[in-house]
Amino acid sequence: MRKFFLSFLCAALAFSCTREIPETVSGPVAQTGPAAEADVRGQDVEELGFQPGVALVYVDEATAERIEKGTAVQDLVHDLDVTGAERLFPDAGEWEPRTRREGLHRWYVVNYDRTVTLARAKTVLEAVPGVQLVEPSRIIRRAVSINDTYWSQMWGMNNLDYPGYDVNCKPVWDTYTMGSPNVTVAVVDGGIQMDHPDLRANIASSGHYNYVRGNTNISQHMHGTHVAGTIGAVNNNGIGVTGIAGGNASAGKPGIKLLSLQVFETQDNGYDATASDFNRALKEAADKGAVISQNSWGFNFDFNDNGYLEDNELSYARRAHENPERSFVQAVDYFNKYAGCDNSGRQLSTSPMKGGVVIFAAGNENVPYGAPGNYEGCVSVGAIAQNGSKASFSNYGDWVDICAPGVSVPSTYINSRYVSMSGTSMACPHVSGVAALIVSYFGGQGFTADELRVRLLTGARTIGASSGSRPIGPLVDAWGSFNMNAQGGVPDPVTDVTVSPVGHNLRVDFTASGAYGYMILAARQKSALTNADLQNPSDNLIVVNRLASAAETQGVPLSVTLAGLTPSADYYVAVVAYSYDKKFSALSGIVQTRTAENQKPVIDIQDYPATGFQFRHHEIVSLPVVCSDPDGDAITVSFRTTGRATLESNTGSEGLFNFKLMCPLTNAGRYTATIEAKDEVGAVAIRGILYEVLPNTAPMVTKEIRPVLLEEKGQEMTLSLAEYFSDPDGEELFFKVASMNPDIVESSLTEEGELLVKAVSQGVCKVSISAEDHAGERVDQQLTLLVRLEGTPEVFLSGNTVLSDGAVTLVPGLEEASLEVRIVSASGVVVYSYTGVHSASSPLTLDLSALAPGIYTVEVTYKGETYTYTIVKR
Amino acid sequence: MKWKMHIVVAALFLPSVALAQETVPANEVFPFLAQPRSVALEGMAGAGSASTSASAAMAAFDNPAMLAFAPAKLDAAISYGRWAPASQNTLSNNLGAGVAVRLGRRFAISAGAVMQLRPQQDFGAAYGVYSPKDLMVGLAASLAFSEHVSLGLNGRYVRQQLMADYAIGTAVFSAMLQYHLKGLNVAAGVANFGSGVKAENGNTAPLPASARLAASYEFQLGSSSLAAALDADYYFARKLGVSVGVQYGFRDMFFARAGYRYASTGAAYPSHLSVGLGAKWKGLGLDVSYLTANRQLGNSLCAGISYRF
Repeated sequence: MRKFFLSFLCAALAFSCTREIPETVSGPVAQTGPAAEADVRGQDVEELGFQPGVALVYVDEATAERIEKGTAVQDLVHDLDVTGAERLFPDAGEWEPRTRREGLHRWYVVNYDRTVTLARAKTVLEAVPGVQLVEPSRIIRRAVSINDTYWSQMWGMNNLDYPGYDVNCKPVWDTYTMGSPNVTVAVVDGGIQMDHPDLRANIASSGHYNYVRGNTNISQHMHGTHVAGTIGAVNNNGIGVTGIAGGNASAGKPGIKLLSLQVFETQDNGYDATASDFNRALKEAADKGAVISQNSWGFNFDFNDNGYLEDNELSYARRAHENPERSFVQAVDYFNKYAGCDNSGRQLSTSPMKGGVVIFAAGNENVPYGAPGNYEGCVSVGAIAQNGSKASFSNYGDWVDICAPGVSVPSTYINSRYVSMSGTSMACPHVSGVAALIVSYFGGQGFTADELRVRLLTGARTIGASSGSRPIGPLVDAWGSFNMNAQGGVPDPVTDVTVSPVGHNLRVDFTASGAYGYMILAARQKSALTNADLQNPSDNLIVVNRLASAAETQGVPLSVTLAGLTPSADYYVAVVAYSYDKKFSALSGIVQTRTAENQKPVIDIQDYPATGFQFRHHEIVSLPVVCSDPDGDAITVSFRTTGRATLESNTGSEGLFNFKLMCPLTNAGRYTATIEAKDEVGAVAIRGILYEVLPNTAPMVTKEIRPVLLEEKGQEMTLSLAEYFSDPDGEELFFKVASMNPDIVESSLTEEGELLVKAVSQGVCKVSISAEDHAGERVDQQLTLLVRLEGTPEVFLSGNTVLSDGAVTLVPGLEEASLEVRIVSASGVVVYSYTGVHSASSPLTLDLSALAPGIYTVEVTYKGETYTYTIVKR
Repeated sequence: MKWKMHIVVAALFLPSVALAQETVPANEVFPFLAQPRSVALEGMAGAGSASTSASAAMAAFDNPAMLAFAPAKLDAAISYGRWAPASQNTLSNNLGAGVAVRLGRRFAISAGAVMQLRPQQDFGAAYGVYSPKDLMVGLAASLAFSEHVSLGLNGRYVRQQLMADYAIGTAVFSAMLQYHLKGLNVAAGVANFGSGVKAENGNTAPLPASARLAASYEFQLGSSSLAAALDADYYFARKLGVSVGVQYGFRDMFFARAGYRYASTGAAYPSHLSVGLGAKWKGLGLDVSYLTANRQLGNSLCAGISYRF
C-alpha cells in the first residue's frame, strides 16, 4: 500500500501538542469554564474502546488529489508526532472506479502520538483545511482465542456449565487488556516455582525474598505456585492454564509481574516452616514496587488440628477477628498508603498506581470470623462453588468484601505440573488477578488505589451467595469493573470553584456535579491547565483526586486541600469531574490565587510548669502535647532526650501527642527533652522540657520473716509480702520468689501479692524473696520452711542413711538450741563429735565423704532429748 | 501501694541459704581389730599382751611373739562377749575360739576365729532390715631365737557384712619381737597393718595400724603372785592408746584383774576401766571381764573358757 506523508497534518498535530491554548479558548480566570475547552471536552468522544494514536480523517476531493499526487509531502515528518497516513480503503483495482465514485478514496488513517488524547487530536485535525470529518478508530472486539491446555476447565474465568459464575474476564481480554508488565503483584505466600514453564515469563526480574530463610533464595511451594498461576500464568502459550492477567504470549504481550515474597517453605519432613514475621513481607511488598498484595493465608485457630473449630478455638478466632493486631494493621496501612509512592507519599513516575490494595483470603473454617484478612484495610475474599453457591468451607459475614471462584480451581503446581485445588486461597488470586487487569488498563499517573478499590467492589455483581445468613459479598466481575458507570455519560463540569490560601496550601471548594471523581488540578503556569492531558497528567501539574461517595450527589459542597505548595507563589487551579470510565467533564473555570508565607508548626505543651518536672524513677509523667501547623501541613514530630521517654501519637486526636517521661534507667539528675515539629516545607518548631529525676531509695525490709513449720504434705501457707517489704519512695515493688529446693517446698506468688508455699516432702527449705523497685535496687529476705511430718522426731535426719558419698543433714526444730552430735562406730568408737547452736533455719549438714566404710550411730541431743540414727557408709 | 508479682526460676537467685556444714574427718576401718580378744587381757583394759603366763589361744589376734615362750603344749579357748550393750546400734555378740600348739621347744603356732553378730538394723524403706556380722580368722606363728628373744607374726582376714548386698574385707598383719627373762616380758612391733579398704567413693580407709610396745612383770609372794602390765599403741592415724593393768593371783588358782586404758579421741580402742576374775584348775580355766567408765563400752561383759596342758 502506498503511503502518503501529509505535511499539513503533521504540522497541525505537532502544533496542537505544543502551543498555548488561546485565551479565547481557555477562557478567563473565572468560575465558569471556557467555551472552547467545553467544546473539546463536550465531544462525545469515548476514549474507551478506541485505538489511541489513530484517527480516521475524511478530506475533500482537492485535498485527496493533492495527497495522491504527493505534492503535499514535506520532510517535516520526522520532526513531528504524526507518524504516517494511508488510505483507509486502498486502491481497489478493478473496483476502484466505484470506490472513488462513493468517495471512499478520501478516507485516510492518520497515525499520531499515542499520548495525545483523542479529543485533542480530533479538534486539531478538524481545524486543518480540507479536513471534513474526523472519527476515532474503534477497537474491534475480537474474541481472544485461548489455546492453553486446560482452558476448558478454567471455570473461574470461563464457566461453561454455569454461565455467569466466573470473574468475567474474557470480554476484558477481548476488548481492553490481558495484563501489563507495568503492574507488579506481590504474592505473599509459599515460594513460586520461578522456572515453571507457564509462569517464568511473568516472574519479576528481582525483588523476590524468602522470609523463612532470610535470603533471596526462593524455594518452590505448591500453594504459592498455585496462587501465582491464577493471577499470572502465561496465556496463549499453548500449555497449561490461563492467568487472569497473564498477558497474551501468542501476540507477544507479556502479563503482569509476579513478585514472590515467600513466607512458607516446605521442609524435608513434609511440614511447612513459616516466617517469623509475615508483617515484614506485607510492608516490604510496597518497598519492592508491588501495588497489589495477594495474601492467601490466615491465622490458625484449629489448635488440635481436628479439622474444625471447637468452642474454645472459635473464641480465639473471634477475639483475633475483633482485635486486629497492631503490627499487622500498620503493615497493611503502610502498603495501602505507600505502594507506588516515594517517601513523601507522591506517586512514582514509574508506578501505575498511587497506593496499594491488600487482598486477603477470608479463611476456610466456615465461621463468621476471618483474622487477619477481615481488617478493613484489606479486601477480604470469600469463595463460591462452580454453581455460584457459597463454598461450604468459606468463612462468611458482612466483613467479606467480595467473592470469587474457589472450588476445584486448576492452576500451576510445583515441579512444572498442574493441579486443581479448593479454598478461599484459590478465590483470593482471582480477585488479585482482576485487580491487576484494572491497574493494567486504567493505571497511570493519578490513578489511585481508592479508584481500584471502588472499581473492584462496585463493579462486582450481586449473586445469591452475596446475601442471606452467611453472606460472602458480590462476585468479582472484571467486565463490570471496567464498565461501571459507563452508561452515565460525560459528567457535567464543575462551575463554582473557589480557592482560599491557607498558609502555603490552598483550600479548594466546589460543588459536586454528581457522584463522580474529581480531579483538582493546580499549576504555576496557566497553560499547564489548559493543555492538560487528563489521562496522563504531566509532572508540572499538581493533581489531587477526590472520589465522591454515593451520597455526594449533585449540589453537595466538596472541599480539597492542595498541600505542599510553594509559599508566596501564584497558582492556577481548576477542577474537572470524571466518571469511573474516565469520561472527563470540561475543565472548570481556572482560578488564579497566591499562596501565603509558610508558617512554622506550633507546639503547645499543656500543663507544663515553668520550672519543669520533678519525679522519681518509678513515676511516669504524661504530658499532652498539641502539635499543629497553621498552614495545615502534615508535620513530623520527633523528640530527643537523654532519659527514657516515648512520644505517643495514637491518642485518637489528630495533632495531639502524649509525651511520656519514664526514667527507670536514668540516673538522678536534671535533664532536658526536646520536642521538634517539622512541616513539609522544612520549617521547624522546637520546645524544650526540663525535668529532674530525683534520687532513688532502695526498698527495705520492714519485718523479718520468721521460720515456719509445715507438718503435712500438701499443706499450704500464704504470706502477705506487703507486711515485710516497703519502699521509702512509695513506689510499687516487683517481687521475685524462688524455692531453693522445690522437691521439699513449692513456692509461687498469688495475684494478691502473697507468697504461697506448699509442702512437698519432709525437709527444710528456704524460699528466697526479692523485692525490687523500678530502678533495679532490691532487698532480699529468706523464709525458712521446715516440713516435718507428724510423728517425726523433733530432730530428723534428712538425706540418705545409706550413702557412698556426700552428706546428711540434721534438721532441728524451729527453736534455736544446742545440738550435740556424736558419730559412733559399730564397735563403740566415737569417731566424731560436735556441739553447736542450730535451728531449722540453720540445720547441720555433715559431710561424710571421708568416713571409713562401716555402720555408725549418729547420736543427736537437742533440747535435752537424744535421738539416734543408724547410717551405713559404703 | 500497688504490688506486682513475678515468678522466676530459682536460677535467677544467688543461693543465700547459710547452711552449717561440718566435715567428718577420716577414721580407721575395722576399729575392732585393736581390741584384745583374750578375756584375761580385757580384764586389764588390754594390758598384758606380752605376758607369757596368760592363755596363748588367741595369739592370732593379740601378740604372736609370746607364743614361743608360752609354757603349755596345747592351749585352747572359747569366749563370748556382749560388747557395747549401751545401744542396739553398737551392741554385738562376739564369739571367739582359738588354739595354740607348741611344736618343739622354740616354735609354736596358733589359729583362731572371731564372729561378731549384731542386732537387726533398719536401713530405711529403700534398703530394708539386715543383721550385720563380722568375721575374723587368723593364724600366728612364733619362733624363739634364744631363751630370751622371739619373733611372732600373725595374719588375719577380716570381713564385715554390713548389708545384704554390701561387704568389705581385707587382710591384716602383725609382727612382734619379744624379750623374755623370767617374770619380765617386753614386746614391741607393729600391729594391724595392711592395705586398708576402698570405699565406694574411691577413698581408701586405713586400718587401725599402730606401733606397739607391751611389757609385763610378774613375781611370786608366797602363795600369791602379782603381775603388772602396760600396753601402749601409737596409731599411725596420730592417736595414742595406753593400757595399764594389774593381776593378783592366789595359789595360781584364782585371779583378780583390773586395768585402765587411756586413748585419744577417736582411737580405735577407746578409754575405759575394766575389771576381771579368773580361775584355773588342772589346766581348765575360766575368765570373765567387765568394762565400765565408757558411754559406749560400759557394761560390756566377756567370758571365756580355756584349757591348756
